[in-house]
Formats: sequence, C-alpha cells, structure tokens
Amino acid sequence: MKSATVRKLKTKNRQTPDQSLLTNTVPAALAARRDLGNLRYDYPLILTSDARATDQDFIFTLSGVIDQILQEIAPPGGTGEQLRSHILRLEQEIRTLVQHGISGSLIELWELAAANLIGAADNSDSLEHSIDEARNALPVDGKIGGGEIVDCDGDMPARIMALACSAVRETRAENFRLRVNRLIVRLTDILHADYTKSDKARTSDSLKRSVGTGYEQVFDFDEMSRILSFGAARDLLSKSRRQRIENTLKALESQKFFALTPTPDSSIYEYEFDSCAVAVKEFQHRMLELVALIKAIHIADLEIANIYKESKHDSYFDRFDETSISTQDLAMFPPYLVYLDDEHLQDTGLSEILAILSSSTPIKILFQTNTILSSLNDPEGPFSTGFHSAQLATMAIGINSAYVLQSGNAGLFRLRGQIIGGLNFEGPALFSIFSGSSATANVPPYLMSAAAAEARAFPTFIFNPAAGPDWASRFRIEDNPQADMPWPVHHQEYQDQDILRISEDVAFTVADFAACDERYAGYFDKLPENQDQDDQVSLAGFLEEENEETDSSIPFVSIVDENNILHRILVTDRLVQATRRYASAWRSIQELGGIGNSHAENLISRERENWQRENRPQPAAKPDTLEISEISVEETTNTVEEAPDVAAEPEPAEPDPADETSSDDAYIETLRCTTCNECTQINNRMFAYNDNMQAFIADPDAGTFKEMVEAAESCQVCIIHPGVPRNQDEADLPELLVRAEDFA
Amino acid sequence: MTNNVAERLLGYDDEVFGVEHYQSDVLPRWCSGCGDNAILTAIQRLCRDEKLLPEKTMFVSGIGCSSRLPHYMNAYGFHGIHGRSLPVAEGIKMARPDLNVFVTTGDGDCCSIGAGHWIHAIRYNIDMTVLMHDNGIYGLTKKQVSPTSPQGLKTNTTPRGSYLPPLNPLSTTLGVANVSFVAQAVDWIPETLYDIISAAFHHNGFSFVRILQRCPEFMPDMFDPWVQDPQQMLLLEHVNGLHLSPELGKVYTNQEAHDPADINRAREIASLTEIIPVGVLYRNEEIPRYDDIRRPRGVYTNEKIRAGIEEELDKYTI
Ligand SMILES: Cc1ncc(C[n+]2csc(CCOP(=O)(O)OP(=O)(O)O)c2C)c(N)n1
Ligand code: SF4
Ligand code: SF4
Ligand SMILES: [Mg+2]
Repeated sequence: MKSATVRKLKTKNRQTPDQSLLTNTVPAALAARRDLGNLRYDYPLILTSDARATDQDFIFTLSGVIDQILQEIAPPGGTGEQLRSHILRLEQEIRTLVQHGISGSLIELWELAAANLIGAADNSDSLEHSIDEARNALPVDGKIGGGEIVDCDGDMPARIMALACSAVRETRAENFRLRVNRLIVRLTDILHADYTKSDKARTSDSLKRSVGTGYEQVFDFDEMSRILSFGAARDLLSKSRRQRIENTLKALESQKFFALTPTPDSSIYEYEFDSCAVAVKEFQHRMLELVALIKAIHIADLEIANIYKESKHDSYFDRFDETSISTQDLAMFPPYLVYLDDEHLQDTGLSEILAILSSSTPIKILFQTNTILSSLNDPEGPFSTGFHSAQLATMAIGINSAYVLQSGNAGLFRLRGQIIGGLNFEGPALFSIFSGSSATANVPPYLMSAAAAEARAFPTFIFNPAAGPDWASRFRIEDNPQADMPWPVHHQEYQDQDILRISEDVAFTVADFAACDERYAGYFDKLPENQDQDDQVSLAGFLEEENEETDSSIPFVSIVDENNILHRILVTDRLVQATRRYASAWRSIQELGGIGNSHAENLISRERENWQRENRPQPAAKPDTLEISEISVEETTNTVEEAPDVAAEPEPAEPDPADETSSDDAYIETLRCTTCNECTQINNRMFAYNDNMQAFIADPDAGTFKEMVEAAESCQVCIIHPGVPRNQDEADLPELLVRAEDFA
Repeated sequence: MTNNVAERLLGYDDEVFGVEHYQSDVLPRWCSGCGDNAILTAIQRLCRDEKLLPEKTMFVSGIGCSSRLPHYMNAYGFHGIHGRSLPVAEGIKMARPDLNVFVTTGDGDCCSIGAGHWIHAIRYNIDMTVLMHDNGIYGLTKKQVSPTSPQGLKTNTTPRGSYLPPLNPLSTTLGVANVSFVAQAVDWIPETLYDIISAAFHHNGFSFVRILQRCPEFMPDMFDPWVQDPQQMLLLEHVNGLHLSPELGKVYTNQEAHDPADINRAREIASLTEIIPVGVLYRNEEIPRYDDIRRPRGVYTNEKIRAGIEEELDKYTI
C-alpha cells in the first residue's frame, strides 16, 4: 500500500485529459434512460422515521407506496382510470421535485406536488378530488407518510445501512427488554417470597404496613404476628443462593447494552463507528461486561427454573469467560457497524478490514466505493498493481466465514432483505456498495451505479456462509442483469449522424460504463478520419474475436450526444485491457455462482465422450464371444433361480413370549398390565411392578398356587397365567387346577 | 462458541427422573381393579419420559373418582369444583404459559354439569391435555346415571333403567368449531393408552382424549365384550397417528390406516357403535389458539400492574 503522501505528490503531476470527447454524451445503451424523471423506478425511497421499524419494513419505494394506495382506492380492472392517471402524475411530480434537490417528508412533498399540479391544471376540481382521495389512503404515521423521501445519491448507502442497523437493533432491543425484564421480575419475586416467610415480615409493624391505611384499627397486629409465627415455613433461601440472586439482579439492572425501557438513554452504548480500530477497541472493551451479563442471564434462567445446582453450576460459572459465550448468546446484542469509504484503503485500512472480516466478532463494515475504475491518471502508472476497492468484496469471499454483499446504490432497495440478513449474520459482514456518485458523470448516481453492475465492473453478489455448506447454497449472483452472459445485451434504437433510424443489439461493457463519466475521457479517442467502417468493431465483438485475425480492426463504443445523435469513439488499449480484466473477473464470479462452471463442463464433456464411445454401434461380434456371454447369462439365471431355495430355509421365527416360557412357569403379559393393583394386593411379594408400573411375577414361591389362581381370576385383562403348582402338597390342588385351566 | 456444548454444560435438562418422582405420598384410594390406576400410571410414565419438572406441571380436575388424580401426582394440582376444571385450567395456562397443563375429568364432570365449559374450551383451543375418564357412570356418588351411560342402565337415579341413548363425546367434540385434537383410548391397552396421551401432550393446542375406563365397582361387565375379544376393537394406525408394536399388532389384528387429517372419516369412526375405535381420530396443528392470540406481549412488572389498577380505579373517582 502506498502512503497518502506519495499518492498526493503524484496526483499533482498528472495531466488533465481532454474531456470534451464525453461532454454531454451518454453511452448509446443508456440514451433511453437518460431522463430518469420520466421513468417509474425504485427511487426515490422513503426512509421510515419510526423508531419501531422492524427489519421487515424500514424502507419503501415511492412507486410501491403509490401502487398500494391505488390498489386500495382504484383497483386495476375497475373504473377509476382518471383517478389512476391523476395519482401517477402526482407521483411523477414528487419524483421531479426530489430530483431537483427538494427534501422533506413524503407528506410535505406530496402537498407541494399537489399544489404545483392543481395550480397548473385546467380542470383542477377533479384533480384535487383525486389527490384528496389518495391522500386519505396514505398512511400518515412515521413509517410512511412522515418518512423522509430521498433520491439516490452519495449519502444513500450510509443512510440505508444506518436505518437497517437501527431496525435490527430495535428488534433485538425489544426481545432483550422482554427477556431481561421478565427475569428481573421473577428473581425479585423469589426474593420477595422469601421475605414474606421471614420473621421480619411477620413483625406487627410490617404486618400493619402491609394492610395499608384505613383499616389499622380493625386488626390486632400483635396477635396476628403471634399466630402467623406458628407453623411458619422454615425453608428460607440459603445465604449463597440469596447472594447469587442479588448479584444477578444487580448485573441485569446495571447493564449498558440496551435501555430496559424504550425511552432514549444516553448512558447506553453506541454501536456505530467510522473507524475499524475504534469499533474493535470498543467491542473488546465491553467484553468483560458482556460476559458478566450473559452469565447473569444464564444464572437467572437456572434460578427461575429452580434447577441451579451449586455442586455443578458453581464451577461452571466460575470459569465462565469469553469462550463460554455461544453464538445464540451473542445474537441477543446489537451488531456493530463501521462506515468506511475508498479513502480508507490507504495506510492500515485494508489490513484492519481484513482482520475484522476474519474474526468472529459481529462487526459489520459498510465500505462505500466512489471510484471503480482508477482513472487514466493513476499515479502508479499503467502497470500498477494498486489495490482497487472494487476487489475488496471478492477478496473477502476468500476468507470464507464472513458475510459479503456487493451491490450498486441502485440495487439496495431490492437487496434490503439481504442487508438485514448480513446484519443478523452471526459473524462479521462486508457491505461493499458502489455509490455511483461522481461530480464529472453525465448520468445521475442511480444510473451510474446501475451501469457499473451491468458492465460487470461492480457485479452484484451475496456470499452467505450461513446459507449452507457449499457454493451453490452460499453464493448468489442472480441479481445481475442477464447473469449467464459475459455482458448484458440490449436492443437499441437511435439515429445515426445522417439521422437514419438504426436498431441493433448492443452489449454493455466496462468501456460503456467509462463513457458515462467525463473523467474517463482520456481512455477514449476519436476514430481516425478516413477509417474504413468495416474495420470498426464494437468492443464486445473485438474482445470476442481477439484470438482471431483482428490486426486491422479497431474497437469502438457508441455514445449519443445531447441531440440523440449517435457517435462512435475509439477505445484505447488501456481501457481494452481494463475491460478484459473485469470480464475475466466476472467469468470467475460466474463460475462460482454455478454459471458455465469449467470443472462441471469438462466433466460433462468427458462423460459425453465416454457415453458416445460406449454406445457406438459394435462391430458384429465373433461367435465365441457370443457363446461366452450366453453362458454367463445362463449362469446368472441359475443362481437367481436357486436363490428361493436358500431363502426357503426356515427363518428363525420371531420369539413369541408365550412359546418361550414353558407353560409350567407362571407368567404375566406385562406389557398389557393396567396397574389395577388386584394382583399386588393379593400378594405383593409374588406380584410386583416394574419401572413402568406394570406387574410381573417377582417370586413364584412367595405365595401359594391358590393366590396365583385368585390373581388370575381378578385380573381384569386376563393376563396372569398361573402355570403349574410349585408345591404339589398344597391343599385343594385338583379344584385349583381346574380353575387355572381358563388361564393356561 | 459451539452452542450445543455450552447448553450441555449448563445442563438445563440432565436430571434423571423415575416414575417414583411423580408419585405423591398419598396412596390412590381408587377401588382395586379401577381403570383410573392405568391412566395414572400412563401419565406418570409420560412425565418421566418427557422429564417434566414437577414444579412446572399442573393437574387440574373437577369432582369425581377420576378427579382425585391430582392428589396422586407429585406436581402442582387443583382439585376444583364439579364441572369447572376447564375454565380453571384455561386461566392457569393464560397466566402461566410456561406450565404443562393437564386436566382430568369424568364423564359426569365434563359431559354433564361441565358441558358448557367443555364446548367453549374446544373452541378456545388453549394448549392443554384433557383426559376424560369415561366409565359411563357417576362413580363417586355411587352409581348415578351419566350422559354416557348405556340406554336402559338401572342406577340409583334411574331405577327403571335410563331412558335416553348416550351422548357420544367424540362426535360432540368433532362437531365443535376450531377443534384441533380428538383421540380415544381404553385403559386396558396400556401401550396405546400411553402413546395416545403422549400424542395429545405433544399436540399444539387443546387435545381431548376420551378414555374408556372400567369401573369394576359399579359397572363390572360394561366393557367385557371388548376387553375379552380384541376383534371387537379397531386400532387406528398411521404415520401421523398411532404406531403399534409388533406384539400388540398380533393381539389386535383389526386395524385401519386412518389419517388424522381426515375429519370426515374421523366423524364416521367416532359414530361406530359395535366396535370401539382406539387411536388419534383427528389432529390439526394449524388451528388458532386463544392463548397464543391473546398472550400479553409485555412484562407485567409490579409498577405496571399498580399503574393499571390505579388507572382503572381513577375511572370511578368522584
Ligand atoms: C355442584 C355439584 N353438584 C353435584 C355434586 C355431586 N357429585 C359429586 S361427583 C359427581 C359425579 C361424578 O361423576 P364423574 O364425573 O363421571 O366422575 P367419576 O366418579 O365417575 O369418575 C357428582 C354429581 C357436586 N360434588 N357438586
Ligand atoms: S391384576 Fe392384572 S392388570 Fe391388574 S396389576 Fe395385576 S397383572 Fe396388572
Ligand atoms: S367407584 Fe368405580 S370409578 Fe370410582 S374408584 Fe371405584 S372402580 Fe374406580
Ligand atoms: Mg364417571
């Protein structure tokens, strides 16, 4: 990493490129989207100002809110076409106001836009009526109506992250408050119950106090105290338990991680930082307190469930330290968020970021990139190996245990669920966001960032280590336009220099992205005056044909000027190289994302070859080969036929309890015993219950055959089988044997 | 930072319990041979196997021989008022959702004096396990006719024989809106008795188990045809219901594969008269639970409770 000083010195020396080439132009592919005011798209956003925002609903789009209102007051298919068109006009007007830098809450801009439209309209009555109706359907709470409406600009990534982070924190705060307040109440209850059992609580004074004012005269508290001390419970809390509960309560009540009531409290810890070092320091600094708090929560749980065992838990909690904290424990607390941008990569920046991402702390980094393509004026010269911030996310994936999300500003709304996912992820996370904000760009940040994603200069991807064990489940690139292509290809229509209508399919490459911003003008040049049109190739085509004979061809990209006239400009070698590099990086990302995976493709082609080889029509086989195969077939058949004989051999039969016991021995079908006590009441040494409280014969000699037969007769479910008499001299045996026959 | 190890070290559930942990010091005073004994044993086995903490377990009952069961359990108990076990249990579960709530009730307690509460308890679908000991008689009051007594039964209150055909508790339960679990067990097949009570315990919602229970004292022959001839029983078997052991399958060969999701077939099975079905007739975990819907979302601290009371009382201040 070069130091800032070196960088600054070199910057001074660079030459300013000729920017006129790109003045007021845009890449041909973006011509139609040049004027965003006429389009309905994801921006502006409404950032909710409601502190109770949950991770489900912290941002909204203007068009989404309007759609919802229309759905309510003028559902599609019904009448109300006029109402719909009025409200869509209002939406357009609000969007235009926002683009002109007017800020405020949605309601404020709504009112302003309404006044503008009504003032300018001929038939203002019906328009006013429509707007009023829609206004009544607009939720006015802080979540939507009172939320601030903002356009896509350089501040947006930080604002969205701050909001997402506070939504996650609020959700956790609510759960924490519920849990810890409940623990506090329960622990206090235990102490209180103990107090009411104590002698102190039974003194006449304290009894008097507990009755309150008004009725003191009715009672004789001395007598009451005397009576209550008879038969008073003596099972008071042990000293150690009381101490433990008191300490636990203290730890729960004095913690500073969350406020225990929803009211703001300045003594509560901060979780957002603008330096990695400070965030890490704070995290470590709070560790002792965190350990103590988590320990207190566990002790409280055990105490309340009444299962704290000193013999076992004391030593466990004595040794309780950072290593005892589980990820579930940690997930109760807020994530830490660090705001960084590409300036931060100098000095120790990169190593600090990587250290956090390789740790298991819940520190999340917003890394905002404002420059993807180092401009031609790179101080380190054309062969620089300097680190580009666009590579940070790809590098972070290599760490393999951090959550990584890369996206342009334009894609943030659609990825809001993934942003929350990253904040909720148990370990560190990197949110690498390209803002698209550039003072020299000819398109607004929204388009600039969308162009970077399209050009594969800043592809969108998410790496979520919690999503599964393999790349297929962890890595997602489907949010890129035409993700299976090297570049997205768009169908374009425009006029050429002779005002002729042209329509063609055009790929959007890194060079097209560069053509959005005048600071990259130096990467382009005018095409040579009398250059043969046939030798001019689009950059995408040029790169595709690279291996072929391309000696005479010249790569170009198409731009349109402010009059929508098409021009071709030459792409210089530096930019061809850069484009190639980004294309190759995208190719790797595609492979990881499961598109055109080279290993899989090699395997498939090998398998296909094998299959074709094996299924190739065989030359006529020689007679002896045929014989051999016939014999082997016969042999197999024989074996198969013989098999049933083998199987027919008597299998060991399922042991039947009745078969197993000789009918001479008395027995009980214990599994069917209903615990009715009949037999055990006849003789509880002869009949006893097992662990499941079902009867068995514990000792056949512990009683007479007569008792055995009587038990069999009393048994409601007839499961006692008396067997033969143990003592042949017992009286009345012949009669008993006849009675026993029914239960043989 | 491996969660499981930490959880294991904390040992939230490594107590070893035996059936005896759940037996109280009071010896059962039921007649010997009474089917209530089998039900008690099944419950104690379940508590042991599920490692239910006695102090987290609650048995609520009304009045009757069957309703004496809470006395015999080493757990919390509420031996309540005749017919009112269900509203008491509902209050307990609403206030203390952390408790395992069981209700034992009799055919008189549940289907006669307590019938109004019974119907609404089914509809509330509050999470609890209800065991209705059906011996077809008021046992405790020494042989008085009950709603489930067979028609023509001579009892102290119907000396010339009862006049009406019995009420069918299964069909009744299956006819109430929001019903979520209905099963039938018999005290004389302990294996299925245990399995059915266990299924009821694991059900998320109000689980109603009718247990046919022998009362040798007053109804000595009532269930004889079925106790003595396994062919007269129909065992309902299903992956989502009862699983029979091979031994039992050999004794009770009359079986039907019945999916507890099928309420229409459940209703047909419930109305069988000659044959006694045993198993889970109906189960639906998706039914809304009143205790879930109305669960207080906050914590009631003493201050909060006091503030609430003050607020209410302030309404009446002159
Ligand atoms: C309000 C009230 N009414 C009547 C009684 C009298 N009584 C006691 S138990 C009982 C019937 C019990 O029958 P059941 O619920 O079937 O229980 P079993 O004894 O059969 O198990 C009756 C009517 C009572 N205790 N309280
Ligand atoms: S008499 Fe029969 S059912 Fe009763 S306890 Fe003895 S073996 Fe079990
Ligand atoms: S009277 Fe009947 S129900 Fe009551 S204990 Fe005796 S046998 Fe059991
Ligand atoms: Mg009864």
